Amino acid sequence: MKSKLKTSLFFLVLWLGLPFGCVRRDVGGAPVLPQSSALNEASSRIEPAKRAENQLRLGGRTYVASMLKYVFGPSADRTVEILIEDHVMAMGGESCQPYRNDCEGNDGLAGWSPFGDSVLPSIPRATTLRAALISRACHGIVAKDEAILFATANVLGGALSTMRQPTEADILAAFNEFSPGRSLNDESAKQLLNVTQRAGEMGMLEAWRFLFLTLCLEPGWQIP
Amino acid sequence: MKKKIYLSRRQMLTLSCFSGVSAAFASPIQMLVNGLVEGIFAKAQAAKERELPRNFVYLGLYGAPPRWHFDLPLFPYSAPSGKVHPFVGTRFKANSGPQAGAPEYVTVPITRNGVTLNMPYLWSCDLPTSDGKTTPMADLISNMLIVRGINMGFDGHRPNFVRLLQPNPAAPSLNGFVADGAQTPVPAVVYEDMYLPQTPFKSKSGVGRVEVVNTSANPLARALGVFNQSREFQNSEFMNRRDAMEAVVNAALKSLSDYANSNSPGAGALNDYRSKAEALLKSGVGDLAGSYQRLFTKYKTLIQRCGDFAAMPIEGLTNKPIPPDVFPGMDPNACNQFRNNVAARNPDMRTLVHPDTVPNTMAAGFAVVEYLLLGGYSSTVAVKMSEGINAKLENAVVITEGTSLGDMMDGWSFDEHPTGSLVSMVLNAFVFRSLAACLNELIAKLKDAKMFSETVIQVGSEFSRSPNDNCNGSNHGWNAGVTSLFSGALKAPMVLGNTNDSAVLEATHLPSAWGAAGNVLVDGAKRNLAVGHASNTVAHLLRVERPMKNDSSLVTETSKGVEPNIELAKSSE
Repeated sequence: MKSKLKTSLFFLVLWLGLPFGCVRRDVGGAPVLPQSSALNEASSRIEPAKRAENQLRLGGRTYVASMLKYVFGPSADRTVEILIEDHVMAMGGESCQPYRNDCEGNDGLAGWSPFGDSVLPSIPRATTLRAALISRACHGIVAKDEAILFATANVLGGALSTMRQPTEADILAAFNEFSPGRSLNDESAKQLLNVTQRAGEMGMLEAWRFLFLTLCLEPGWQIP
Repeated sequence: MKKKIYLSRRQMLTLSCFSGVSAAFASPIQMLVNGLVEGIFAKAQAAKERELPRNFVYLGLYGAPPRWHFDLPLFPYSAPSGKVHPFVGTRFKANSGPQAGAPEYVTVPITRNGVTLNMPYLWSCDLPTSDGKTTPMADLISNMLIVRGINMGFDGHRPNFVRLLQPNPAAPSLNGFVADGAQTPVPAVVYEDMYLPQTPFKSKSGVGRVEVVNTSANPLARALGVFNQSREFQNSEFMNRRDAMEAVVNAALKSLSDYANSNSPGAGALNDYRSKAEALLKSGVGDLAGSYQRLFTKYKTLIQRCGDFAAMPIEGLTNKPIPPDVFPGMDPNACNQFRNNVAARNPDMRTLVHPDTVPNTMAAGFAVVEYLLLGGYSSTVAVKMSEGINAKLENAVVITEGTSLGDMMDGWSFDEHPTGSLVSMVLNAFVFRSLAACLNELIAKLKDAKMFSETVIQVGSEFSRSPNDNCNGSNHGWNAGVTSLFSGALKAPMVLGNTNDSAVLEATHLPSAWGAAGNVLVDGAKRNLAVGHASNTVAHLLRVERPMKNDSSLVTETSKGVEPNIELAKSSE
C-alpha cells in the first residue's frame, strides 16, 4: 500500500513537473525541448528589427559591381572599381583573386588573407559604411552624362533618338533594370513619376538622371 | 534496508494511462501555470532583447611577453607563499649582498572596493596622466578581472593569438559577435601593426571589418576616410541640383523602402543605413589627420614619461643603479643577454630604455581606439601590438667570442627567447607601465563619456612565458595563458584560475611557479581552464553568444554585479 502511494506520488510529481520547464509549450502548442542558455543568448541578444535585418541576404561586391556596370555601362567602370570592387571587406562577397589581380586597393589585399574566407563576409549585412560606398558610387556614376545616356538607351530599347520625358512604363522599365521581374506599387510609381517631373523642369536628361539616382540609391535591389 | 517498489504490469499500465491522459488534457490549473511561465519567459525575453552588446576593445600583445610583470599575480589572495622560479622577478633585490640587483618576486597588496589583491611589484608605481599629473597605477584594478591558469593546449604564436578572440574556427570571433549587434557606422575595426593580417574577425551576420595598418600615416583616414573623401559630393553643379531635389527623391525612396519592406521584412532598415551614410557623407567625420596627431601625441607623451625613470622613478626598480653582474659564479652575460649571443653590459640596466624606445604601435593603437569608440564610429576595435622597440645597449659584447660591439641600438620584441631576466625586467617595467598609463587614460575618457560600464577592454596575448633555468631568456608558456579585462561592469577586482607552483613544462625546467595552469573545479570536473572558458567569460560580459559551447563562462553578471562561477584563484596541483 505504501509502495503504491509512493509510485502514485512519483507520477503525480512527474505530471505536475511538465509545465515547469521540463517541456515548454510554444504558442502554437507544439511541445519543444527547452533551448540551451547559449542558444537563447544567441537569438535574444539582438533586437527584433536587427534580427530581421540580419537575415537579409545581400549581394556581395561582385553582384553590386555587376549591377552598376550593367545598368550604367563602361563609364561607370572606374568608379565601381574604386568604390565597390576594391572594398572587399566592407562590401562582402567573394575574396580577391590574386591570379586576376582584381583588387587594386589595399582593402582588396586584406580580403585575400591567410585567414581566407574566415574574415570575409561572403553574404554581407548592411552597414553604414557599405551604404556610404554605394551611395558614393551612385552619385559618382549618375553625375556622368554618358552613364545616364547608356542607362536610358537600355530602357528605351537602344533608341536614344526617341528620348522623351520618362513615362510610367519607362519608370517601371527603369526599375526593372535594377530589379528584374519585380512589380512597382502605385505609391512608389507615383513618387518616382514626381521625381522625373520635378527634375524634368531642369531638362529631359535631368529627369532620367534623377530617376536613375533614386533607383540606384534605393537599396532593395541589393537583395538578389 | 530500503524496500524496493515493485509494480505489477496492470498497475504500470494504469498509472501510465493516467499520466498520459493527464498530460494530453491539461487542467485549467496547468494552463494557468503554463501561461504564467510563458509570460515570465516572454517578459525575460523582451528584457534581454533590449540589451545590445557592450563595446569591445581588444589589445593583443603579439609575441607573448612575460605577464608576471603585469597581470599574472602568482599569489593574488595571499602573500607569496609558494615556490617561485628564481628568474621570475618583479623588482631588483634591494639588499647590498652578493645578489643585490638580482630578480626578486615581490608583490604589493592593493585594496580596492573591499577586495585586496597581491599584485606584481610594478603596481606600486605611479602613472603619468594627460593633464601632466600622476595617479596610482593601483587604481586600475578597481574594475579589473584577471583570468589566469589557462592551458592553451598547444604551442604556437599565430594560432594562440587568434584563439583568444576566435577560439572556435567554425564560429564567429568575439569582435564579430559584437559587430553583429552593432549600430555604429563602421562596426568593427582591426588595427594591425604590420601588413600581415593576424587579428581574427568573423561575423555571423555578414559584417566586414575595416583593417587599419600602422604603416599608414593617418590610420583614422583608413578607418573613416570613406566618409571624408567624397569627391562625388564636391561636384557643385550636380550637388546643387541634388540638394534641390532632395525632398522629392527622399519621398520616393521612403515609398520604395516601405514597399521593399513589405516584400522582404528587414529591407526597410537598408534605407535607414543609406540615410545615415548620406548624413555622414555630408557632415564628414571631422579633421581626421589633426585629430589623429593630437591623440597620438597625447599617448606618445604618456609613454615617454613612463620611460623617464629619473623623473618618475619606481622604488626598487629604478632607484638604484642595477649592476650587470648579479649572480656570482654564473655567466655574467646570461641575465644580461639582449638577443642571441649579444649581451648588454650597461653599468646601469635602466639606461636600456632610451627615448627612442617609444612603442609607436601602442600610442597609435590607443589613439585609434579613443577616436573610434568615443566618437561612436565603431563598436569594437582590436589592436595588435608587437613592439619591436629599440633599446640602448652599452658596452655590448658578442658572448661566445667576447668581441666588443660598443654602444648600439638594438631591436627587442615581446618574444623573449633570448632576453635575459634583467633586461626583461627593465623593458617590461617600461612597456607594462606604458600600457597601464594608456589604459588609465582611455578608461578616464570612457568614464567621462559615461561609456565605461558599456565597454569591455581585454588585454591578451598568445600565452605567458616559461623562464629558462639559466636566466638567459624564456620560452612559450602555452600552458600559462592569461588575460585581463577592464570594464565599468566589473565593480571589484577579481582573479580567477589556478596556477601550479610545481609546474614543469619541459624536463629541464625548475619545478617552481611562473604561472602554469593548475586544476580548478569547472564544468563539473577538476581540470585546467581552457581558452574557451576565457573567451566565454568575455562573451558573457559582452552580452554576446558563447563561441565555445562546451565550456562555461567563469562569471555571471547579475543586477548586483559580476559573481564568480568558480573558486577564486589559488595554487593547486
